[in-house]
Amino acid sequence: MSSIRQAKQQRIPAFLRSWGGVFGAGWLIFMFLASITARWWRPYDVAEQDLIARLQGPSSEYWLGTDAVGRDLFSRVFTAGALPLQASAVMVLVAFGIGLPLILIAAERGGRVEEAIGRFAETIMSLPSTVILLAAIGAIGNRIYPVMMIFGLLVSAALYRILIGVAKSSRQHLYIDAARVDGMGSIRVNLAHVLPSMARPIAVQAAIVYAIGLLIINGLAFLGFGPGEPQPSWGFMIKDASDNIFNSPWMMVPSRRRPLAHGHGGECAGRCAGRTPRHPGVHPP
Amino acid sequence: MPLYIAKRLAIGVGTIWAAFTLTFLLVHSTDNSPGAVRLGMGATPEEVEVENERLGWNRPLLTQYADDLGKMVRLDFGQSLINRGDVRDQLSDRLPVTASISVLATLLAGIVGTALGVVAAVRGRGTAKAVNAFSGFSLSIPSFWLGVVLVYFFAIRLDLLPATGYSRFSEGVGSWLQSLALPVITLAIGGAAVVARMAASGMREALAREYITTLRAIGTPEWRIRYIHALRAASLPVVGALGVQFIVLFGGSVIIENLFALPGIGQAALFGATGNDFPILIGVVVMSTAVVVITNLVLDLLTAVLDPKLRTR
Repeated sequence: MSSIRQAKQQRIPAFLRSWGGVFGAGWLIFMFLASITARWWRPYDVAEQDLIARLQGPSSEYWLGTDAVGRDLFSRVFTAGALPLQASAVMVLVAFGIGLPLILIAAERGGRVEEAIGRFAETIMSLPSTVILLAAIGAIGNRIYPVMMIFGLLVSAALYRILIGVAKSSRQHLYIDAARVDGMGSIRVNLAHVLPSMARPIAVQAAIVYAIGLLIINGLAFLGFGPGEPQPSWGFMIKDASDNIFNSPWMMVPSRRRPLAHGHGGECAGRCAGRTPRHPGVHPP
Repeated sequence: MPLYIAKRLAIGVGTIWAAFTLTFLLVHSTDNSPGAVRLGMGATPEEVEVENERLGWNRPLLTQYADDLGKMVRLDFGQSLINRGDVRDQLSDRLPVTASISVLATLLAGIVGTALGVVAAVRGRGTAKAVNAFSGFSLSIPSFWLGVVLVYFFAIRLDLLPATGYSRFSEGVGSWLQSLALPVITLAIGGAAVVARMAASGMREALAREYITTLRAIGTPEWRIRYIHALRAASLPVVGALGVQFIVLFGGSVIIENLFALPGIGQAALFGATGNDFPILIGVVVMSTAVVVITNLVLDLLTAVLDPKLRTR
């Protein structure tokens, strides 16, 4: 009986077996869907101003209050989510797109190849990423997708350093040797055996890196490199709230809600997905 | 040990070179040109062309690269396109501000983080859970939001610390520390969270080692075992984490400086990015990377001192 229950539980991913994981994943999914669809259900347009009701606290009319020019914060908070959620996903794809092949090659070849790739990754990892991203914006302009792809390149080095150990130890399994002896090609072995055995640490790192991407995008928006006004962005809403903190401290609350929820949701899901990663590895800025 | 230091040094030089090359390629990958930036919106294409020719922008890419690389080695980043001042002079005024914020924040993160981590490892499960919850929470907070909240409570409500502005070290240590207190605390909280996790796991691992059992058996006092023998072993991963943290906090201070109106490298980076000031951008990237590399070298030396295994190499 208990073995049946165990077998059933195995099918549920580990992180959904704890309350933190369920909360994190659920919150992320809810926010993701709500943000992507916000343009169809939001109560006010993001640019709609109510100049009489400026800097208000929450009310039945404006659920999260209004900003300095009387725009509805509830609509703005949700609409602002769409772009960072997508741009950060692109960043994660780029990071793994560059990182994973290098990890697999280094783990398979070892020796000189591994050392060369390792040195390169170490070099990239010691670059101060925020400064590089600002330089990128100064050079190619305020275009969030290319800038986040450059960030993905920087992150791939950190991924390499964290996951290379996992890849190497998963190549130690006997069934990898068996597959090789059986005449399976290098690429097929990697795709069919090495990668699946790394699924859990990959998922953990993806969740963490995704949350970091959101933080970076909001940090850039805070500095003024978000979507231009009147389009809302979380970072710029925090900036806006900080400018009005003397006369309207309430604005800090809704502007905070989203980045926190995502950062924490990602962290939670990530941490619970694999038992706490030994290497905190990639860090938020 | 000399071999170890030589290796770290080589990686450091490689990092600075990579930073320069990456930024150089970025700057040269756009349609924008320094002539257009310098002359502004009103200039005709012919005028821009003349200015680009004068600045050497039209030379072959490799010639420019070799030329700029040679100048960078001599710490010459040219003139700003916007205010025509020497980039090196402008940045070297700002560097101490950013460096002191990030060094102080790293130190604070190291001390607070280690203390929390040790407490989490030594005390019972409840404390460990509390510390873990704290670090999970602080990791997901954007530092700039935390900064605004701290300003609200400590500068506006309680009026304890100045909200913005910078007071030079030469104007008095007290006012210097006061002007840096809020930005440093803001940055250090996130760093402390990471360090706490490293310290806790390092400490737990160290306390489970066999030599600790031996020390207990021969009757060494518990505080000596914990705070001298185990902490020393646990300090290795912590110092390693501090190196990464310094890079992260240095980047974070770029954002925080703008929140607290501190005249550091971050503001220069922001102006450079807004105004497409290419020489400033390259200068900022190279000088920031140099600071990060030097700090990490110092931490590597510290690791070598702490780790007997490395000393003999």
